[in-house]
Amino acid sequence: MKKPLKHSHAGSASNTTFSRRRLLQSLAALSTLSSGLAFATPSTSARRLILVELAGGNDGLNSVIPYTQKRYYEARPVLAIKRDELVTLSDHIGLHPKLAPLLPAWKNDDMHIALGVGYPNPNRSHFRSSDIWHTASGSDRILKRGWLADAFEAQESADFSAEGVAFGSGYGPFLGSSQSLVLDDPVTFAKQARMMRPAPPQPGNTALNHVVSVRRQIARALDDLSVVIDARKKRKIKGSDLHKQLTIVSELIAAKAKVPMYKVTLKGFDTHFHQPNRHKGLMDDLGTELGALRERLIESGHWDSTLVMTYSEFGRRAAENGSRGTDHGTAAPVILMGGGVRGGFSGKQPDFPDNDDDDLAFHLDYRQIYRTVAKQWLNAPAAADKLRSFKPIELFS
Amino acid sequence: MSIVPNLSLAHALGAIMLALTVFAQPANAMQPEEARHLLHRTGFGVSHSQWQSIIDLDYDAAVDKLVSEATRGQTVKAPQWTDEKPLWTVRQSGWTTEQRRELRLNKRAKIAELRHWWILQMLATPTPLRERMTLFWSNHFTTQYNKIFAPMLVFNQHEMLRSHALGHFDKMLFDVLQDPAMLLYLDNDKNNLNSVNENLARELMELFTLGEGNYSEDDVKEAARCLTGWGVKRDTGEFRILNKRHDARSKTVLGHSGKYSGDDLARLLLEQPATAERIVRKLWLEFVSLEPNESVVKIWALEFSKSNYAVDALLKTIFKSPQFRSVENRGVLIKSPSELFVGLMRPALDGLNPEQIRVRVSELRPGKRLPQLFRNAGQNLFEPPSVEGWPGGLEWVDSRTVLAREHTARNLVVGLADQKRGSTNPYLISSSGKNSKGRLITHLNAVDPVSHIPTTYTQQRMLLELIRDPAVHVK
Repeated sequence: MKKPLKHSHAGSASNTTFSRRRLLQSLAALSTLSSGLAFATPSTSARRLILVELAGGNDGLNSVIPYTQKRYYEARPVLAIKRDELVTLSDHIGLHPKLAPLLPAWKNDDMHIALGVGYPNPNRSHFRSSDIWHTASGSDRILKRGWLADAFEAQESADFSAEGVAFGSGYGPFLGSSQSLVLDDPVTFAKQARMMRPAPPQPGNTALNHVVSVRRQIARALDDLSVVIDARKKRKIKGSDLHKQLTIVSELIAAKAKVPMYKVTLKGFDTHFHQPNRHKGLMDDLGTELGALRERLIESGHWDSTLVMTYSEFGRRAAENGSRGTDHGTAAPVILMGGGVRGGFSGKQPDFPDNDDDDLAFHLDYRQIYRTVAKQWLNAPAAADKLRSFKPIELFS
Repeated sequence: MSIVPNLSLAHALGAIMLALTVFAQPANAMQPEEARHLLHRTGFGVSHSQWQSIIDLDYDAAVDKLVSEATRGQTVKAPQWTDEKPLWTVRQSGWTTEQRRELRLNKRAKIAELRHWWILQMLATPTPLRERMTLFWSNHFTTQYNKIFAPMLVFNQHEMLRSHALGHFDKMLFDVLQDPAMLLYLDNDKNNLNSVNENLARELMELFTLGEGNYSEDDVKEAARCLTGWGVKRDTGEFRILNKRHDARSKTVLGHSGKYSGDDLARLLLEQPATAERIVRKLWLEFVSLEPNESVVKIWALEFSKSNYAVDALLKTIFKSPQFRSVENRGVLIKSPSELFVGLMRPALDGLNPEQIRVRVSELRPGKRLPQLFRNAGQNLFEPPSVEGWPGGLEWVDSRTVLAREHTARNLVVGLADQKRGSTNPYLISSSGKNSKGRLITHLNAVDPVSHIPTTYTQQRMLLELIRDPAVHVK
């Protein structure tokens, strides 16, 4: 089932937050429609997911802040964000001041925050817990495949040049996918990929066939991605890693690359000490880049068909430690953005524990969000079916 | 099934004719293709001197020679600091930022040096099988440097595994359970009478011996009690048992009860058929094919445990088996980055001593960055991705690593080919004369290239074509 899009190019009547610029864009889109039928109905395969991994364990409590909870200030005498500095979203939740660039999205109902997200028996190891998030496993099971690996029906995925493209660090949620790519550096990728020699279709045994099919996947993606990558060769992108990654992603989207899923990574969240400035820098990077990404995708007319989702292997402890930092914790918020989302909150902000040694309890299993995204956004039954025991959230309007 | 079905008949016949004319065979000598398979599977590429040393033997004698030589084997000299004491430096609370930084940089330099040293070891060893087995065991008894940050402990563990590489698995297991790097890596230094930490006990049963499904959760809890108090001396980094932290009461593991220690636990695990089977199955994946034959695994496992876990005897059984020798199992495994890179380098370094090899490697353009190149290809030495080690098999090759593998292979081979010996390309020194090209392919590739490489190509051009062909990835 396709969900009606809030800001679909056809422009639904129920839409109340149509900015003037959006209207112009919709008209522009409509005019392209007259010349081609490609976007007559935004097909599911035209939808995209951008995952933003906050690697190291983001301090959820200082990102999405329960500013009315007295214990927040008591347990974090050094780290707590002052009431008059934060960005108020509701009568009990605020954002880190450096996430202010997300405010336009919030006001436009383009932003959805799932509160208190986690899983039972949380694991506090970076590696293990990020594996858990990447494979959609419980803490007691080790799975080998990413939750978005080979997510689509074969027929549909035949149209993709790559099912997923991951930037920065490993395959993550695409682990084990036969049709995904890792791009550490797109220009080097293209250079090396062009040196590859095409090989005959069926060289023989399983091992050789595997090598050949991996090469073929690269060649297929390269054809599609090279327009953007080649243009990049001349203009080096300046700025943070996240800026570079999201710039390439939005250029690929604007160039209509046939890639439904992207994953980017912002590293450095393991703030055991000297947290205030480090976390501030990270929030600045995240807020600025996600805000800019939205602007660019609105500009190119792809915002309504894009869903952005942040995640982190865990949140941090409720109370600060003795080194102006925080240690590994549990539940944390997940931020989702896009023209199609329902603005507002899901779940419930966990109550602050009375004891400083305790953690936040989770109220929403992260796999509930995964299932919602896989089924309702991507229409990827292979990924959604594995999670059918998890109740979807109300993510889309 | 033929490995290279697209090879034309004439091409294939030509290859056989060439093989026959070039390698004049004594009566009992093995077929050149068997020698090629044996050497590629058990080593890193094929060097000319290695080839010469077995080509006149019959097959079984060649296996015996390879395996028994690998139980000995000289090593490249370890970095000077590896015999220092204490085994680690513990950060003191009063240290300045500068002191802490210095320690951090010092450790970083040391682990980098160790990675480099390990690669040199693989390049220079006269007995590559020993290095292959060292790699195998360090991927079985894994340790991630990133968790313990103690270069010396990592080095000692590495040397311990190398010393047992073709020895006895039971002895190795006892040593592993008393190895400081392992005890720290799996948190056994936090496993005490009053607060049990199950990490080591669990991985011991799940990964190092029995395998999943062969023990219960209660067995893990009880096994952890056997290991309480086994840890590391804070000041020296050496193994110690703290009796007051050891749970001396009775435990019940796998249906047996007694006041077991860690050694007793190891003995119990070694009595289980599942332990030998697990090791044999892993060796099958390493040396035979991607699909272990369970009934053969059981037979070999029984033999293995009856031989007091003699690894060298097991390897001889494996290498002499019809499964290993089967033509259908040639070229069906994917080389690890170590096997690929070292295998492409060794033929050009044949006959040089370790110091000469060190110099040649350091003069390569990517010479100093060799460990990083291994990492880019998915094998950061001393840093497997998890306690399960590198998954290996087909997973060595994916869209990221395949590019890194081919890029690095090209750089290394081109770089080494430029380092003339006398006036000759070092890859060609040993293969001059008749059919030098055919021999070059045999030495660098476990199976013939998938694409047709015309014999009219120059040797240099042929080298480049070889490493662009998918067959370079398999062994």
